Amino acid sequence: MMRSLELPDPSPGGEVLVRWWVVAVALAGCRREEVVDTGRQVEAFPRCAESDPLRRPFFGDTHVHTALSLDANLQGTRLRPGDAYRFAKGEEVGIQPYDAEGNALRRLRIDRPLDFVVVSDHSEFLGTVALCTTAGSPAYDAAECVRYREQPDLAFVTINAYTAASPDDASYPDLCGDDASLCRDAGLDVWTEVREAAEAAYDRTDACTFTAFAGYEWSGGPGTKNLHRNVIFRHERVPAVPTSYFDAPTPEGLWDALDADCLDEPPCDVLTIPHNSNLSGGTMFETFDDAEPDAATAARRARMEPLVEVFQHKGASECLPGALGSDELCGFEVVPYSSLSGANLDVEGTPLPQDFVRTVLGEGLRFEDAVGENPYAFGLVASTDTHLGASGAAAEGTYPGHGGAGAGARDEVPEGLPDLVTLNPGGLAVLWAEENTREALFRAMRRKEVYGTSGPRIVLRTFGGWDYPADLCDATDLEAQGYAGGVPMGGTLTGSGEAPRIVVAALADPGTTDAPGTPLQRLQVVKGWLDGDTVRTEVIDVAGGPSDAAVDADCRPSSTGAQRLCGVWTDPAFDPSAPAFYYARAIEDPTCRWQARACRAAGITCPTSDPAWEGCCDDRVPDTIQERAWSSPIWYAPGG
Amino acid sequence: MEQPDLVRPGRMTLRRLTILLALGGALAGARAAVERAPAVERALVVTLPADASLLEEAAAVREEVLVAEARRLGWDRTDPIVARHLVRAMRAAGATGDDGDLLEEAWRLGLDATDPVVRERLLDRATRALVDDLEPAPGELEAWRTEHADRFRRPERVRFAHLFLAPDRSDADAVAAPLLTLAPEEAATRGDALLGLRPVDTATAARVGAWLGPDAAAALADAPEGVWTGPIASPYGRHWFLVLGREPGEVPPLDAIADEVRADWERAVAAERGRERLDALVGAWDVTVVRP
Repeated sequence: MMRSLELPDPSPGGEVLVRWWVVAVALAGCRREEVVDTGRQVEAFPRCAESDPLRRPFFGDTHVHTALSLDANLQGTRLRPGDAYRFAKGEEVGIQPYDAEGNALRRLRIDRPLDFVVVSDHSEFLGTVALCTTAGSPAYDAAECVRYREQPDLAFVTINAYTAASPDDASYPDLCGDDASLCRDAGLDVWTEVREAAEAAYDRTDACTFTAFAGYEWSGGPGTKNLHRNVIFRHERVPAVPTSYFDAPTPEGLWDALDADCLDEPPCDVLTIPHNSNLSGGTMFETFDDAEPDAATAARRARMEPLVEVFQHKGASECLPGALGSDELCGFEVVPYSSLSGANLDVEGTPLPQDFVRTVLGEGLRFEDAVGENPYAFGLVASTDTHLGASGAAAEGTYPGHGGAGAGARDEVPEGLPDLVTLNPGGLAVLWAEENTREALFRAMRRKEVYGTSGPRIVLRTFGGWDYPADLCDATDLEAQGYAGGVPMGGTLTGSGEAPRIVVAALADPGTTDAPGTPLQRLQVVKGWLDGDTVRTEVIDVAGGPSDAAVDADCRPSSTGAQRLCGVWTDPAFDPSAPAFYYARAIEDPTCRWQARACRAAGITCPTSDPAWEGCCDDRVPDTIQERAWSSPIWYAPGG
Repeated sequence: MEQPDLVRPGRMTLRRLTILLALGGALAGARAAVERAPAVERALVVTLPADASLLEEAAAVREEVLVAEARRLGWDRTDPIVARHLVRAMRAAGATGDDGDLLEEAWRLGLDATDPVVRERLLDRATRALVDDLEPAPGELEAWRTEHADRFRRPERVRFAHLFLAPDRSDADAVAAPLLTLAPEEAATRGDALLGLRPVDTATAARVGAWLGPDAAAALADAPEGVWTGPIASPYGRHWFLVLGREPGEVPPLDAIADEVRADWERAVAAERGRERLDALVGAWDVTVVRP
């Protein structure tokens, strides 16, 4: 399958430009790319004054909760979707706690504006929050609503517990009435606010400064085993009501609803992004229907869920140390829990290998080998899961906590650490797209040309092909050659050749005047392949490598890394008969983790008798981390 | 083709419109009532703890005035939400009968005056009524767009050629000198590799800053047109920019940013007008504060 890049109009230096803007005729092999359904397109594409066929990285957050989410609301969050967008655009906002006059006691501003945001409030309780907080509503004096207002910490547990019911028992809260109509009706206006806020925040001029997507979070968690997914709509043509766990108590049921309410009603278009598989107790990547997994089931999952959120506030889901091969850097932000209740209550559990994306990517190879379709061909993104409405607030140095499963700050400014020490500020989603519009960004998500970072604005690019020159890293037209001679991250390399060549290039976060970025220590390729019926993995340094970089007692880094790294790696053990995936990691030099920064700034030494600071001495978490970025895989499919 | 089952983006559902009209009518009625009613009808005693601060006193007075105004307008007897709540409360207490009878009994018992939920509802409705009739006057959004143009201005875009040399070049200036005499696009291709580098690019300073750091953004913003500027240091190396043209930042016309302007107007004006109206309402009441 061939693909051509559009050529810009020739300039007086046309010959030079033609050499740059290479017509992408794949001479060395064919490639498959996820293609978005252009029949569902509703806006012009391209339409921006700055539109780049070679694509640029757009940084955003696909997982933001506001006061419309029950848990955030109970924790004192007052920022609403419109405020979350203002924060993302760079405005300073007030966050909880608030005084009696309604003045916020904390202020927060993102260090650099984001390009896009998805506000993803929990669909289960949009109506519940409205009913319990609106005096005189039909449910206002229901016992559950009285508890909501008078015992918010208890209500946090008792009402959230509805999402932990088994699929057979899933139901709206009692306060919603026998037919749940009270909550459904109340939720309509809330959904309207979500949609209208997204429309108001979306820049439809040719400046294309910001994109807002309408969306929500489906928050099923039977037995507190997390199955949550974020639902993201391509544009403003969305269903009349969001689907909750109470309406559709399985992922398959969610997809049924999205089929019926959206995909069967073009131009509506949607995708879902599962997150926190690390807390799913072995269930995120199972099927719940009784039918045996088959090609159709696999294809359906792949169609609905092209991406997975591999990192966020409640930990990393990339890999479990020891589960598959050796990887000294695998334990990054792996939380000691295996369920949502474990994370909420700090009750440790044993994470399960099948909950981690690297394992599942391998299972996907096995699946495809068996039935011809890969249900787990996930692209990787990251996000925050902030419950403060503070979109993209992923910086370690200014971390105010994210609420949600973490510590709340409804009543007072947190003394000591602002969050549970095992949790983290989350990360960012980065989409390689021609321009900053819903159409362009959604297409990027569909074809999985996306990656995630643990917070820094690392730029990471990968290509896979058969015949890239070994010195491609020195080419000023690396990206054009990358597209012309192979596939970008998210793509599938087919055809044949001696061995795949994977190009990995990255730029360190340039930082800001107040907070310089951290150099890159190394670039790695993580290879997974099917060896008979066994999935094997290997991690290879392709640029840079281990170093003596460290941080001192005051969290000052002594960095030895690079601002730019690039490597062209040829798979020395390539087996043309073996399906494989290759994804990249960009690893920064060590820096202090958020709690270490706070603890050292406060002069805390261990052991400490101050319970507000006891997290400083918690040996479950390191004082230093190596922030990173994870690319989406490039797959190799034999015989394609 | 229209898809009737899908929601169309719009500013007003029927539900909201109904509520808006009702409250708007109420507020209009309230305004008229304020103008009509003799001052003697607006007298209120607010009892506070002895140690209440001035801030607490002001907040309590505002709240009591709102509730009192709502009662003065008869909302405690006419508000359907209050009525439904009182009927539910009566049934919860074991009373039987039709809704009308139960409501009469609730009134007779004085529940409308003592029930805390009723109070909360009246307070909420009165607070919303201060701003729920808020609609921009003809031309007001355009005036807002003009008055606050900086909030809506789209940034300047710069078209530029870009030469990059890696930091490990000890002879960067010597390398750059002959390149800078070439055609701009040619010069860029003869430098070193950098992700995102395009021989000729169009970008805002913000995008360049996000990519190359604040110093590069500032240099590009200030660079004269038609002359290579550099070297400019970034974390990645040294850059030379040749500005080929600038597209000034502009404030888009209202029809291109109507939702954005309106959201901004609502957020600012609602708060301000709400305060003004509440202050006026408090001023219209004769309030006596008692601290036992």
